[in-house]
Amino acid sequence: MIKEIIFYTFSSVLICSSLAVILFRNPVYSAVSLILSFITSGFLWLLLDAEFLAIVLILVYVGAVMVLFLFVIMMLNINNEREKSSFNSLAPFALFIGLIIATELITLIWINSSQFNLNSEAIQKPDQVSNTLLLGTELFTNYILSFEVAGFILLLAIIISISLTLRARKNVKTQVAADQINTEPSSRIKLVDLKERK
Amino acid sequence: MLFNLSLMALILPLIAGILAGFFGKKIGKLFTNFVTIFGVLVSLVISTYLLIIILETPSLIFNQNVYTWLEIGAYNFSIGLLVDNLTVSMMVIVNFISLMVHVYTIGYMHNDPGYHRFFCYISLFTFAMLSLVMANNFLQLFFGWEAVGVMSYLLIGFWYTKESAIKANFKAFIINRVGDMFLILGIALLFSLFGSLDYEQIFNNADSIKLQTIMLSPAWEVPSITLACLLLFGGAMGKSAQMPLHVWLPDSMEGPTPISALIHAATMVTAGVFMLARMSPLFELSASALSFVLIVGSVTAISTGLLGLVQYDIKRVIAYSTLSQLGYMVVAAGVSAYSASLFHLMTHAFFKALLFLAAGSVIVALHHEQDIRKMGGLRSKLPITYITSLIGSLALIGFPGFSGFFSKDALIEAVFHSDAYASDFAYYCVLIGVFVTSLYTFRLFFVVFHGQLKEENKHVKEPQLSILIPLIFLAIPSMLIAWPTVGPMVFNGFFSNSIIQPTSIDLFGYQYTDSYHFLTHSLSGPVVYIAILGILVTYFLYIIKTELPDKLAVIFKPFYQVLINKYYFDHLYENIFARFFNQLGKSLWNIGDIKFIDNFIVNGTAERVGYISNRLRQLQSGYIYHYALMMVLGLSVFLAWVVLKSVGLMS
Amino acid sequence: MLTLQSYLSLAAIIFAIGIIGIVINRKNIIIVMMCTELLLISVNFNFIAFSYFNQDIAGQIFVFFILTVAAAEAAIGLAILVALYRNKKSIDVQELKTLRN
Repeated sequence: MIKEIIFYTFSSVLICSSLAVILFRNPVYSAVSLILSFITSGFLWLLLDAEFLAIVLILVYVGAVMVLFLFVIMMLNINNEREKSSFNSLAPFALFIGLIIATELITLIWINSSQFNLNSEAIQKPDQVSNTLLLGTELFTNYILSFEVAGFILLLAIIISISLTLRARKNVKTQVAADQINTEPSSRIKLVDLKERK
Repeated sequence: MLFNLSLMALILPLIAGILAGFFGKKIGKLFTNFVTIFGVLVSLVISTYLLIIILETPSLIFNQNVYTWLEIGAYNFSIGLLVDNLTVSMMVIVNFISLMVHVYTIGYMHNDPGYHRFFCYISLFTFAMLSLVMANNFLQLFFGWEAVGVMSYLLIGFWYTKESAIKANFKAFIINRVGDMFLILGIALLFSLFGSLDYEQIFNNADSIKLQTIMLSPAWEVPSITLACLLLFGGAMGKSAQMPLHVWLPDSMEGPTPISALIHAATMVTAGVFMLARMSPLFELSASALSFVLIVGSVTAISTGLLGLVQYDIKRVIAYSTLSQLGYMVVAAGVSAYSASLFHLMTHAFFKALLFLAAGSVIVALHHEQDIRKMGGLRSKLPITYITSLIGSLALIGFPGFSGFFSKDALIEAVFHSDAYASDFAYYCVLIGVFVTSLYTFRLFFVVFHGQLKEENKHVKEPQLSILIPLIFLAIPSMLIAWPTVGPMVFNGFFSNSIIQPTSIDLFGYQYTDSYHFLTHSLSGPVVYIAILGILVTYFLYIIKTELPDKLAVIFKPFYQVLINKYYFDHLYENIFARFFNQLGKSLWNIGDIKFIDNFIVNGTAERVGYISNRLRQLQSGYIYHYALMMVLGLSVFLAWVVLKSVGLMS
Repeated sequence: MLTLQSYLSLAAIIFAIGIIGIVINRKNIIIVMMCTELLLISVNFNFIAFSYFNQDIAGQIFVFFILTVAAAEAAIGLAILVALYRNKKSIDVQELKTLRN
């Protein structure tokens, strides 16, 4: 009973804030709405016994990614042209398509519902084993390779971001080793024959 | 041996024609003359020889295939020769007239640039006509039929730079085609009924399908034989110019006079009558077809005769006369008197060719003047032409003693004694026709040869010998041929091996003894007197009171108008049929060809491709959200499919 | 009663909202990126729901990786955005049409 109440409350908040993301004119407001949706979905995951991931969601997503978003939004001078409508000509059509997709997905879910395990109360959970322990055990034994690759992906992300956005200061006198090696003696030294002065 | 001879008679004109056509121009006139005349002469000699042999042993006929052209399953199509009395008579007639025309052409076409081409064509025509009469199956008949049509087309339009000649030859060919359509249908029907195109097979089995019927529509059943005969007669109507397919013959006078004599008097137009006689075993089984033949023939005979009264072109008068006489022949066939029909065919060939060639002689003497209103009093200047024309005219109207008299009289007797369905109507038509015949014949004769000699014609003189000799050679049979031949041919079953007809007693109501008694017998009938009455009336109108014809034309103006306009047949054909088909063709060309195929399909495809690719290009708007939408759209379609599948509405 | 279907339906709704957001957006590119995050979160939802109801931890493992990759992707995407802004001085969606036609 409690579960239902919590679920419905949070899911409505989630839906509203998602809508807010796409409907607000001010991008900062959109970003803040997105933060709200993340937090709410984190709570919902708690309902599903995924404590570790819920916390990680809030830490990583909200704490890092959304902050980054806000950085960029603030940094780029975004002019909100208020006279223009913020929805393009495809709006009705897209709305329609979206509704169709949602309807279809939900229909599929309900049609195939006989194939799911329905009863959540009957599901056994191992006692005294926290979610984190479970996750860690799986991760470091069966999925260790993917774990390493995930780390590598993060490294990659760092390198790419830096290389895309780095602007070198102009007129900085650094040493370029390649140029140093490749010089010709003739471009550095010129032998001049001077006559002796008497 | 006889077979080889006949084959040679058939092939020689062909070879002569080809040689003249290819080499005549290079080698010279003498070569052309020699080769073609030699070809036809030898053919004539062979035909006469065959005739003599057949007269001696009347049961000698042979029917042999030359080679098999096509074999499909059980069906066999071959080229063959059937030589019997009927064939041989036709062969002799065709070859003789052709020879006369060949000789005549030497003089007539002397200065024409197409000299060699002309000889080539008339030799080829002789070959085509011979293959038609010597055929022993329908396929070859049809080949000959079409071949003579083609040669006629080529010859009518011989002076192809003249626009009226081109129009005339189109008209002839197209109207012939209409007839041929019926013929093809008839042949196909016979083929489907009998399973073979051979005369022998068809005629022998004709009796067995006498009672078969064909459903033309769910409610209309006709006997198959009647239908086949009607269709065959349809072909004859086209070729022998019966009403309403008669309009091509007067216009075919655009061609040179020798071919008017050869083709449109003696031979090609008689192909239809020949076919009627040849198919007599079939026609005898269908009384309704014969009645139809009778009606058509009699209507043609009288109406075209009336038209001849108002023509001013010398050749056109004779053309209408031909039409009328063809009507007579068809009438005779309609009352089952095939022998009389064939006899009239023979005599008509002689005197009509004579008249045409005489007209040609007049035309040449007057330097190609054809309007009779510009002629008159020429008897003193053109004596031989005058005498031969007189002989021909008397033969035509059936003056006692001349050949035409015997044939016409036998014919009219047969009509009188027949009790076929429309024979009374036909009898009155042919009787009036006799009167009309002598009217127009002697109108022509008196206007041309009697009366005042016009100023500009005072210096004319007889044309050269090569023109006169054929006239003389044709005048002699026109006078005399009937005497010995009327007995055997008409009454005594000369053709009994080839045609089936009732006995002479039933047919003519008269027991023939010899020609002299036949003549005296006919003097008791009305025909002779009507003919002579015609001469007298014409004499009155054109010699004594020459202003009367014009007054009559004014008094009877409506009739005159109708006659001048040839019963508005030409008007009908040109304005309604031809215009309709012309429009149809044009609209098919415009809409079907240009608009539809060119514009819509060919150009349109290219345009469509361009248009579609243009629109497709606009899909690449460059906006990412457009692309995203497309992706999502695809996704939704896929999802829809999955949903419907699991619901069970789609598989 | 909370069944799997409820969670999955919720995820579907969020997914649809994300898609709508991408397509009807006219403001700027940042919104697109945010909607992408919405899509990812809905997928995560699905995984966690299935993991809970099937008592299989593999779902959560996968969510772990998705989170990682999503973070990396967000970072790179923003870096590209910054570079784009430097070149075009604007991040209006309507102006990004050099690939047109």
